[in-house]
Amino acid sequence: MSASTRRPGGITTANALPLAFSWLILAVVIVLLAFVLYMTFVPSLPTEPGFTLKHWSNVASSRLLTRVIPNTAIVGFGAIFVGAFFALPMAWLLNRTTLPLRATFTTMIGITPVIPGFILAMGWIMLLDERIGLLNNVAASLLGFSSIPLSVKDSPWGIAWVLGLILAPAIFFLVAGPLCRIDPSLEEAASVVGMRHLTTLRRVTLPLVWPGILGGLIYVFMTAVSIFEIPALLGAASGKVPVLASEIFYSVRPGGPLTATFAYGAAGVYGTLLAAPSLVALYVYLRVLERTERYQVITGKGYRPRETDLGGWSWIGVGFVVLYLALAVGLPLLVLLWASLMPVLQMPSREALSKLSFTNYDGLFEGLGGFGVISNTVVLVLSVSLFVSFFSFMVSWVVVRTQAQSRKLMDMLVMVPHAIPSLAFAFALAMLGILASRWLPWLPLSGTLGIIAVAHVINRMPYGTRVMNSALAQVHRELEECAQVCGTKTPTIMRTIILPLIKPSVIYLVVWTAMLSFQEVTMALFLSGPHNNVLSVSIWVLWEGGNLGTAAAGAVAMVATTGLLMFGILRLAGGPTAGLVGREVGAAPLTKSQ
Amino acid sequence: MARGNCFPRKQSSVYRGRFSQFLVLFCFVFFPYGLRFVGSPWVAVESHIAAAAETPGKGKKLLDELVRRAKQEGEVIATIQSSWSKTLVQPLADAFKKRFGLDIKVTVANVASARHFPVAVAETQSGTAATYDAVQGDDSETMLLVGPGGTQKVDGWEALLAEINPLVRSGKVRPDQISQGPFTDHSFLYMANVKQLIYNTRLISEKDLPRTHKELADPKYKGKFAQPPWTSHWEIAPVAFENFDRNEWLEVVRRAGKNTGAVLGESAAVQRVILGEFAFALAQDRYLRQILAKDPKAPVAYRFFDDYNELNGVYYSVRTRARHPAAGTLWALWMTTPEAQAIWQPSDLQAVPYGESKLDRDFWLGIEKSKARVIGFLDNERTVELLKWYRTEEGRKYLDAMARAIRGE
Repeated sequence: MSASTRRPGGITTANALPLAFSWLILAVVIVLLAFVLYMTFVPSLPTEPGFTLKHWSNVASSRLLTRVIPNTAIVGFGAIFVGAFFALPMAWLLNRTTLPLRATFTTMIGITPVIPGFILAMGWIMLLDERIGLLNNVAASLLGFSSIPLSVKDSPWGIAWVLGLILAPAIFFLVAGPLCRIDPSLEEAASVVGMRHLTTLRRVTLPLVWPGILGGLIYVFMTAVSIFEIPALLGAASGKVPVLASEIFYSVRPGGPLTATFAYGAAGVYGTLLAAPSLVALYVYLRVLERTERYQVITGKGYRPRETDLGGWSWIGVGFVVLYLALAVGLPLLVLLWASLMPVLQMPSREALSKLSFTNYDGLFEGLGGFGVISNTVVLVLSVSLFVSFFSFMVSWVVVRTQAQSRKLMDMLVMVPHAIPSLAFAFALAMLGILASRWLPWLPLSGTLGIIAVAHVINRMPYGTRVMNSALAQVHRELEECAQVCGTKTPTIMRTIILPLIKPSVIYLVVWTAMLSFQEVTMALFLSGPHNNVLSVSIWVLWEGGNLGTAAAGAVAMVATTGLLMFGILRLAGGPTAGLVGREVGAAPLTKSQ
Repeated sequence: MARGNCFPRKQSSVYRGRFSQFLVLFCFVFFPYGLRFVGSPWVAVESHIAAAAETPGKGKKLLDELVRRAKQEGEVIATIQSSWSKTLVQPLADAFKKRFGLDIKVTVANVASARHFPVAVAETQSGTAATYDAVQGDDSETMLLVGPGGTQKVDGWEALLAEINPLVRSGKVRPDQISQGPFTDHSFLYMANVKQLIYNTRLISEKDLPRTHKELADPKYKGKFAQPPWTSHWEIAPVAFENFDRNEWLEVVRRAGKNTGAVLGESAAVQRVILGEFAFALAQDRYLRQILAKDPKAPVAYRFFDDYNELNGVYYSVRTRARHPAAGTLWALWMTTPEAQAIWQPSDLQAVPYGESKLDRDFWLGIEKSKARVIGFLDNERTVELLKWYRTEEGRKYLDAMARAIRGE
């Protein structure tokens, strides 16, 4: 049988390998999802007998309809708006123009997810708060008011603003890869027929990267509505701006340790509520992907992108990127640095300045857990980013490149973990780990780095497959068909043709996944045991225990190290922006006169 | 809480061996009346001191056996408070091994008990081996674990304590000050904190602070304070008032919740008080000490409530199906000693209720001076009953409602 022999359902033997790997990872997802769903019908711990519907009946309240869902919608769509407002222009500016300092800017955007979300929230409270906000105080003194009633707290818009800033890099990285690979002939054709640059951008470029944008927006929406710590700091925890994420958290852990621990079923119920709108969005996304050929811009004929020379406008572009970086990176970094140099966090003042010292940096390495924690973190980050990239590629291959009947189901399934609260996933994994150590004692799961890695891989697969889907959708089939005609086998086609073509997306995915895994706390904390502590957990534990100064010092060290590493990796990989595909060849910039 | 006062406060290794036995005997013969003044039943004191005096032989034998088994086990895995600095891990491990002449692997991990205990309960119920040999948690958390059989009994615990802890051996501390009530022979008290108000002296004066928990519901405090999402500032109330009405109290909590500026963990809340965002926060005493240790000029101070203030005990327990039960037992008992305390207390700044350090003395002095009403869950039968009631379905529902009320629901 030849490599391309078709089976019923459109699967060729050549695609058996991706299909097998896809179902392997999806089997884990299904088991975990089933367990989370099962927990919604269990009165307390899954190890106890009994059946209940109380978790489902408990969530039905008028508050849910009148306050929680509207607030969540504002937070979700607001974050999309803010994120897209910054990310889309930046993706174009940093990947398709000759903007100066692109490498530095892209690296700094990549650092954003490493900065703990609570630090960014704290930074914005210090800036915009009716009582202590620096901006409020300056504005009040200028305008002659006693105070300015403007705050990021206790408002869903404030939460959306902060989340949008944090999540903009997700859209940026999802769109950046496809933008790099757009066939310049399409834009040149638009130019030939007299289209202006903006019209070309709107009518040619943006539609071509539409799967990436749509994937990014869905991802941002689902992330924004499931993040807990930032809404909690900005008013959700006190019940003033209840959102689904805070409802989940407090349903699972109402606060009292006696009761807090036995309502994990509620997380599954809320997860289902979160999953419902997400699945609708996914359906739309899949409909878009059905017409994959529309987005295939990398053909065998030519795919080197050209860069637009902005001329004198480039400084406006630089200003825009700097504005974003100042809001999303500069501000929290300043707050971090300030907090790390203060014995106790205080607002900037002459008195506070006299207290600055490096005391929090003394014994920092040991305070964070020493070499063991660092090596655990490195192993975790590397393994998660590699596994996510590999499995995402396999799933996306099946979804985008095959006619398998199950491909839509696969794409749905792989996206669902994003809607399930990570706390519920972590709890399900912890329970499975316990049961495994009883029935499969040879399987080292509970308390190992492996269990955190599994949690992270499953949790990052939705993002990974969005990146890979949009990247693969852009590669025309004629390339692999050509190779198949020459007798090349699928693994070789993947390795020697497809992967080099989608290299920017793969590198973005590896780096981005590594960053997210590096800073993830919720699951790592819940699954941590005596031997699998990682850096993010150490920093969170310091913060939670009241050692904000040391935690901030740790975060500063973490951001600095990650920034340098990321910069180095991207440099080694050939450059952080569009050059990963075409810059080495050096297609001539598309100037305004062309 | 009763404390023995018949010995000089300063502790050293001098209390070990024959000299300490002599002191125990000396105290027993010459200071029986002195011991009565501390307010505990004399008969119990007498029997405990007698036990302490008689136990060296028995205690030594039990200890030798535990040490022998611990050596065979070759490892111990224990939790410490999640807030403790990781720099404490090595000194604690070294001192522990040195004390018992052990050459075993000591793994100590920062673990938030509220986060780990549901897993520990699941381990117990599924019959799998425990992740940690010795775990620590507060009254409520420990009850959660003791209830379903998640902790194991320590045979001969009184004799062992007398052998391991010089304060017990000397008779200054009764074994039942360390293990009592529903936790007797399972869990061992090693530190405690007390809930209070921590306020920013630049934003509010002491006289303007609320006097009672009920006053937190006063509209004049709207948006001025932060409180944690957990119920420990409110849950002891049923034993604090004579004619307690549960629904009425829930309404107080709810109105106070609606007044709350932010619901935050205690340490984060105290930081926001120092920032000036809130005038005061409901928090435990150690955060104030920690802040002042880092910045003596920080504008913070504390005040107790007039109606009640909850004392939160923290205990070590040995887990059921621990992989290293003997080493875990040694760890749990050793953590009650002044030797261990001298390592962790200077940085954590929590008090040991039966301890003799300056911090411990100041802890009690502060309470005595302010005449604050401090109530712990193991104080008397009524408080213990309340702790047990919170484990019932009705009690859980009540705590659930209280937690929701804190967020104004």
